[in-house]
Amino acid sequence: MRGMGASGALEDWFRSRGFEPADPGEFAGPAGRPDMVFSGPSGIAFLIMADEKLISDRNYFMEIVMRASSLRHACNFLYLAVPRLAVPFVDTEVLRKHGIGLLMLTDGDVVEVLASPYRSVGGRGGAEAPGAEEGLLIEVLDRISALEQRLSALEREVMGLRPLTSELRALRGVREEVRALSSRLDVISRRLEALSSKVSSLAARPAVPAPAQAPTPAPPAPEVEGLPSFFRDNPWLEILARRGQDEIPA
Amino acid sequence: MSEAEYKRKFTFGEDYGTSFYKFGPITCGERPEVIENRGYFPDESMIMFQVMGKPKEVVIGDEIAQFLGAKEELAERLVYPMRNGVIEKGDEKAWRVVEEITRYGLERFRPRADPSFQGFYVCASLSAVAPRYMYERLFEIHRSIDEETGLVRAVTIIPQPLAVAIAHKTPTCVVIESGHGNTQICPISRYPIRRAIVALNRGGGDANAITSQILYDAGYGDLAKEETIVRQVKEALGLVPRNLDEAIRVAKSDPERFRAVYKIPGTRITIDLGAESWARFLIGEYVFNPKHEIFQSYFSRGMPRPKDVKIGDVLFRGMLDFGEAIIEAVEKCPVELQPYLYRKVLLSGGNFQWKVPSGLEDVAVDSATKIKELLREKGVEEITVEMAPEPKFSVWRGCIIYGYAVPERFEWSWDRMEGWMKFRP
Repeated sequence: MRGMGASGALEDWFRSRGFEPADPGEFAGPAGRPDMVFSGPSGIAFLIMADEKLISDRNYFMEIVMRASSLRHACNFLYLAVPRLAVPFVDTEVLRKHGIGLLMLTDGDVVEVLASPYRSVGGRGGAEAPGAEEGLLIEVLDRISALEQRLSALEREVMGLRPLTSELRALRGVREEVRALSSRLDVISRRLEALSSKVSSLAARPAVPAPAQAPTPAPPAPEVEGLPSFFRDNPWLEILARRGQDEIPA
Repeated sequence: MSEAEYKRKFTFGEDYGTSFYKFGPITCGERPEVIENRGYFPDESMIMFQVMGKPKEVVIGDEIAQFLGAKEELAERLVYPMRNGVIEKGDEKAWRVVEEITRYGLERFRPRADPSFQGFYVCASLSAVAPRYMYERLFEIHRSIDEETGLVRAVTIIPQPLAVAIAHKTPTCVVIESGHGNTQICPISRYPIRRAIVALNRGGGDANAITSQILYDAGYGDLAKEETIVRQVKEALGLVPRNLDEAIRVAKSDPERFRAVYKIPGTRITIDLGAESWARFLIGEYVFNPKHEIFQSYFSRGMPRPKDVKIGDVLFRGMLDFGEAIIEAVEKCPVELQPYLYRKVLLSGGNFQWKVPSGLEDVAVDSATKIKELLREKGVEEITVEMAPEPKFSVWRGCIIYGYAVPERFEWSWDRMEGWMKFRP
């Protein structure tokens, strides 16, 4: 997951929010350095990357969180990027408590699972009391952050529903096919029965010598075998078959 | 493949009813597919659409449920195009719904893997009082759908009463089709006798109006405003009297036998008309004969009297009783034909589904008996009145038979108002 694909996707994601990549070396300090850094008009964002080791090693998660916490005072936003498979093993409550956001990496795409709140640079866990204006700003930014979280939750919901919609559409198609096939089978079955009874009656009939001259054929009765019951003995079939020949409506 | 063989697979029926659109090919068998004949026009400024993308201009079928919002908004955005059987010429919203519903119906049955398919023979059915511009517009809708999809090989349009007569195997009869908003009386003798059609501005909706007034009088003023509850009460408690004066006299003398009690399903509410239970006979009588003097007190208290109205070119009469209306229609036909017409009166539509509860047969009757009584009072004897079995599907069935049996060479004629309209060379 640490390949170019994931980094590229993360860069795209931050760029779409007005950030540009910066050199992590410039932000190295006693607590180490982040894996990726982005800067933009709204501040500095650090990114720590984790891999699938999260699934099997609980200590690894704690190490990552501690590393991230030690960098928190040096940036305005801090995110942990985690492969999709490992996301269920991340305790988001712990991240929220430490002001760390969570990004999920999935098939070259990035989804914000938990938004990082804004923190002013230099402050350590709120030890320095901000001024009144700054406090107001932080409150507004926190609210925006909460809204972002709700939006990402909605985005996740919608993404989860998309595959269901296509499944539903496919099922509807199958239902139509089954229905059409079933109707066709009914028709075929009725015609088969009719043919079978005709064959039986012919077989049972004694052989007669052929007449010298064929009788004048009667007008062909409309074929209703295999059609729905409301066709049977319906005088309208003959009336309607003559439409356009000699009648004038009242 | 011969024409008959082709039509065995690809004849398609469409019934544009007031509440439901019934549709499907001949291969559906006995019953068509049904969806509500309505469309919803979403508000494109809704925040939901800014997130999810622009919605369709008009939404139909099951999808509507996802869009239904406040009641006030519904009246404006939810359109029932055939509510009165006739669409006004310039009512573009109603025509958009008809177009969308038609496209949906045809696409739903598009054959997936049949190389012989070259479009359906579509037989559509409209109200008997639909004016010529409705025929023209419906042809135009099918032509445009065919251009886009190739689903229509030929189309024809027939009046609903003709379809009912065909489905019930009766070439000579009078068909009375009564829906929510109006009633059409159409004599048929192998063809619909158009100049004899009588239209009434009265239907199931009027029975709802008097039911609401009865509930109000019995102290249920709050429930009297809820359309769904009023309809449930009408269906559960409404009775058709053989003779209204006699029914009221008997009911008042033995109130317990006629006591009308109805519990609204899923609630704790029970409606009990108590001493006013005799009024349940007014519900049925009002549909068949609103001229009885007892209704004057309701009109004077503000209940609207069914008025004569002109919709399109057709005059819908308000106060004519069903007996008078049948006689008026039949007497516009040749005298020689009249006895044959009275011999078979077919009742079709949801407004004739009245039940006779066990033990009340001495005074309550079904719709067929009531019509006979009304005609007898006016001196017409030797009458047979029948309820169409499965009235919901009879128009669609008639369309299927018509589409199957009428030969393709019989081209549409505006003089005859029959035949096949073809858009392809």
